[in-house]
Amino acid sequence: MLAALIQGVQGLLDPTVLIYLAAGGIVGLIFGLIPGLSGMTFLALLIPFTFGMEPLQAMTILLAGHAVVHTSGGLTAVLLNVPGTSSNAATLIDGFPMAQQGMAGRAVSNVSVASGVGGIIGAMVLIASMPILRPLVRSFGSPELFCLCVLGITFIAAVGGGEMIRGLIAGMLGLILSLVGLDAVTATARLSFGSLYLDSGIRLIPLVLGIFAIPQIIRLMATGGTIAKGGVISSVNVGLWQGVKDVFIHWPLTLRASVIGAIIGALPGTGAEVAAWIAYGHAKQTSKHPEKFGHGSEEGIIGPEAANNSKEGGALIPTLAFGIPGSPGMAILLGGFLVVGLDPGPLFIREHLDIVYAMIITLAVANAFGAILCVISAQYLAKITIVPARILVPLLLVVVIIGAYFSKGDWMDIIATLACGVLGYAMVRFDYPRPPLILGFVLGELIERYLHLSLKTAGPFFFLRPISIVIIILTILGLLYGPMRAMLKRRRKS
Amino acid sequence: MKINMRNLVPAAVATIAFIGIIISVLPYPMAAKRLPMVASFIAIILLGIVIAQELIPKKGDAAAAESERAEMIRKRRDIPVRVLLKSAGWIVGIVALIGLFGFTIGSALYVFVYCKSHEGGWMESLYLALGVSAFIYFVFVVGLNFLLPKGLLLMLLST
Repeated sequence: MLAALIQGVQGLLDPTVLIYLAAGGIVGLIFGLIPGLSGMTFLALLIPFTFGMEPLQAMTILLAGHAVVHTSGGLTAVLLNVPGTSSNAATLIDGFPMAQQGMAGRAVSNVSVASGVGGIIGAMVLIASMPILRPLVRSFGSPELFCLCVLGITFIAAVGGGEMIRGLIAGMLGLILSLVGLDAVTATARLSFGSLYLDSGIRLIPLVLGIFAIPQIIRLMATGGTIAKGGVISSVNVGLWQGVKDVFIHWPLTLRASVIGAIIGALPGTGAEVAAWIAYGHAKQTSKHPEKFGHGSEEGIIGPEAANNSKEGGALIPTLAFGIPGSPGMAILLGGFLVVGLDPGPLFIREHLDIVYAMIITLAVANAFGAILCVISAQYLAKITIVPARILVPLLLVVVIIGAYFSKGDWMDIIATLACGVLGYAMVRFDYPRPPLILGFVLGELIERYLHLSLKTAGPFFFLRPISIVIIILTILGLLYGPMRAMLKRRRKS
Repeated sequence: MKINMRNLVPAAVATIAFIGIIISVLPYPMAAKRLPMVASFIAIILLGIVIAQELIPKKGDAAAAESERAEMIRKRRDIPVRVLLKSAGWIVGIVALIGLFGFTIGSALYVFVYCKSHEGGWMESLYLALGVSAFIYFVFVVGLNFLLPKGLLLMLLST
């Protein structure tokens, strides 16, 4: 294990890889700042450009960007009262009041440093879980992995935002879309309707770009103007150092919130929002000054920000160990890894432990880099939100079109992106959550492979093995979670 | 009872699509049709629940009022059809321009036209267009050595 760790570090010390890490971090910070362009849109736009890169380089740029996107999202929450990503919503409650009191710099430092420290603790939790994970994945065969894939879709649909039934429908649609094209077992051209393009299957890049980026661009086109309307950008240098100190003065809270985030992240399907809100609640419960919450409490900023970054470390646990994404963002990230030839899962963790460690170190380094960069350049970064839509929209659209074409050099990919854009917009308009569709698509191939192998090796009752039964029970509990929560809510109201 | 067509119509259309998928995969061998059929069946059952939720009257005034309030919020969030069509036109426009003039020139033209027609100044639009063109050329053509298509018009002119 130590040898793999050293090998992983050596791989990352390559200057080209370090440049990609810095580039991913900077682009991630910029995207996190722009409300509406979620972390998922960012990944969707970035994946096409990793095509042709070495796997380690591609992994570094994707993971570094994904790691810091929540860090800068907190900046807009503090300075403009608009969360950059949905997971920064909890930061608004205390961040903006603190900035209005003339301590914008302190709030910015709280956000940046807590995020950085949280991200590093998340990576440490991931490293600590490795000695347990390696023997655990050995006990998983095809039947267990099949059940885990089903569990992954169920959890994302159940708690990944939106109504559960609609989430499951989206997941099923994603699963069917992944089955379009030649079947690996029987070589039957499925659902391709005679199209040569569809014979090779629907590609992830046009799908992700269409589902996430096109609807966001349409919304930006429709709303126009600038993203930020006012805010307190001018006082961003006041109290910067005090904000850094706050995170270390409240170190028990930083540590606890980070561990909470990492644990919640490891549960497939729980979003960063859940981690941030639970950490906020915990910070308020354990604070000596709960009355300050809502009026600019530094603990109210540190808790959620540490949790939403450490969550990514936790979310990498099921992603790397079983190939089951721990969050909607991880589902797209997993797709990106597959595009560049990295195939996370039990085999991967056994045979490519050096890359696994490289991923963990990337996560930690990117978080530290993001925090430092945010503190130094918050004043300039915040100005990005003043960029008018007339500049942002055509630039994003050019990136989308080039991204769609770039991976395979096929015009049909551009058409497919537009078609998926129509589907994505319809899903937004009619309230069907989009992350389960991507997860269903990413897991579809695995589900079919494991189902086939399970039937071959263990027969039709393959799911009656002990671990499979436990996973099935968890799946049922996941399905019941939504209706039970709604029922309890109704009861409490009445 | 007021039926929300916004929930009903997409669910009905999706149900028909999933039935279509089941019919399409029926002739395939068992190993190839197994999963699409199961997934479609599950989706149809779930869509049936969505449709039933819409058709069965909501219990109590509070539930009905809540659903109406949610619908009003959704309507306010919606993009008007006219604006939506205009946006779709702009998106199709970039594909057409790139198809005609290639990536480097087509993208620059698009950026210029879009920026100028949305209250951008001449110089701002021009600088932005030149910047995009230079970015595409230096990053993709020079840096990544990627062969970007010239576009239909330029190809015709060169022959």
